[in-house]
Amino acid sequence: MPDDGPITSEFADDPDMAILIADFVASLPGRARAILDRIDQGATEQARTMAHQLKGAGGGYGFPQVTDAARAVDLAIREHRLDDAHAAAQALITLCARVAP
Amino acid sequence: MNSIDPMSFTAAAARLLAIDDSELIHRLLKFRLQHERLEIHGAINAREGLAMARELQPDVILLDIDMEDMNGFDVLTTLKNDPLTQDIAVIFISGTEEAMDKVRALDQGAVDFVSKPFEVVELKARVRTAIRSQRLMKMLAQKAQIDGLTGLWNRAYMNQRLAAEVDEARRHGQPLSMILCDIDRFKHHNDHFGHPFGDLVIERFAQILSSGRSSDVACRYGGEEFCVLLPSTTAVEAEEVANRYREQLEHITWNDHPGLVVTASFGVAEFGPGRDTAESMLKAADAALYTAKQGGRNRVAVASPA
Repeated sequence: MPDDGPITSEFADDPDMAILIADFVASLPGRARAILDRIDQGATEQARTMAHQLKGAGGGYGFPQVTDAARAVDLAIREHRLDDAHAAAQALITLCARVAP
Repeated sequence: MNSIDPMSFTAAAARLLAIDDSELIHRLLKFRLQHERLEIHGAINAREGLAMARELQPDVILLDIDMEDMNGFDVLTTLKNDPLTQDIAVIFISGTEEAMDKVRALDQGAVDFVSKPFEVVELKARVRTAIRSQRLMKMLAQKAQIDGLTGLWNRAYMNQRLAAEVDEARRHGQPLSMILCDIDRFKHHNDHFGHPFGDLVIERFAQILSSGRSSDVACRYGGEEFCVLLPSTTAVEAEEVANRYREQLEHITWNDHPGLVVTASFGVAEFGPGRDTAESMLKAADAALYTAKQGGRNRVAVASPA
């Protein structure tokens, strides 16, 4: 799979998970954007909480890449590396744009 | 009424409370655990979770560490300091990767720790194990409070329950009564007909006492003495209950000893002014029981208002 190709859930073959995954995927761009906005507004604790929640949920919906990308944001904020946090949030937005149901 | 029903520990769906401030996790947990024998509840923040834990009395709590209003460690401490929630099994479910967080959680009394994102089969297995252990602990704790001969609650439980009922009566202004009763001439029956017959008398009397209303709590207080707590019951009503017990015992036909009549005496006391502690209620019921004995036995005496 090319690095910029669509990312599908590890549970895409599970029809029972379809609606759950579709809802999650639909919410991802907004969530990622909100994290970046909070960082840029200086609301880093809110941004960290949102990234932390996405980190915990991503793998559960079959998207370990989302977990990894959200972890990078969470860690950068925890370590007060705000430029890195901004870049990580940008990367999260790019990744989430590739996520497909 | 008081006996332990092992089925109640295995057949009923266990109650699970998830405390996590991520609605994504709640949706996932509900979906992933839907085929387990679980009644699943969710709280979206720590304070709501603590309130729900008290109200629902779940078998197991899945607890997030990183929440905005209170962290999971403080939630666990609050749960463990509250008699109503201290025995609930708590499994931390968290995205933290710090080993010390896991150690701290277990040291504080959590039974397990599951990392997010979680493996579904692992989560299910850990939840099942926690519920099984928690129910076995509860069963063992109850067994330690059950009288071996009669299956009634024992004196230790009665003392604990009486204190709790007195607190409830005081807090909510509800009536509360107590019956203290004693089998008449028990030593004579024991000496004359033998200890097996004495045991039989105690067992039959215990059956009578435990066949009452489901809200009543019958205990073996010691030897041939018994105590029944009657929440939301006035002394007048408790006197009627005691008289029913008295008549049932009096009318038992003892197959090996035709014609023998075994009786008991009863003392009734109601919570109220001057009788607003466990000790003062017991003392009043005991004095009334003494009055019943002195009055000729096989009767019910009610403690007059203090």
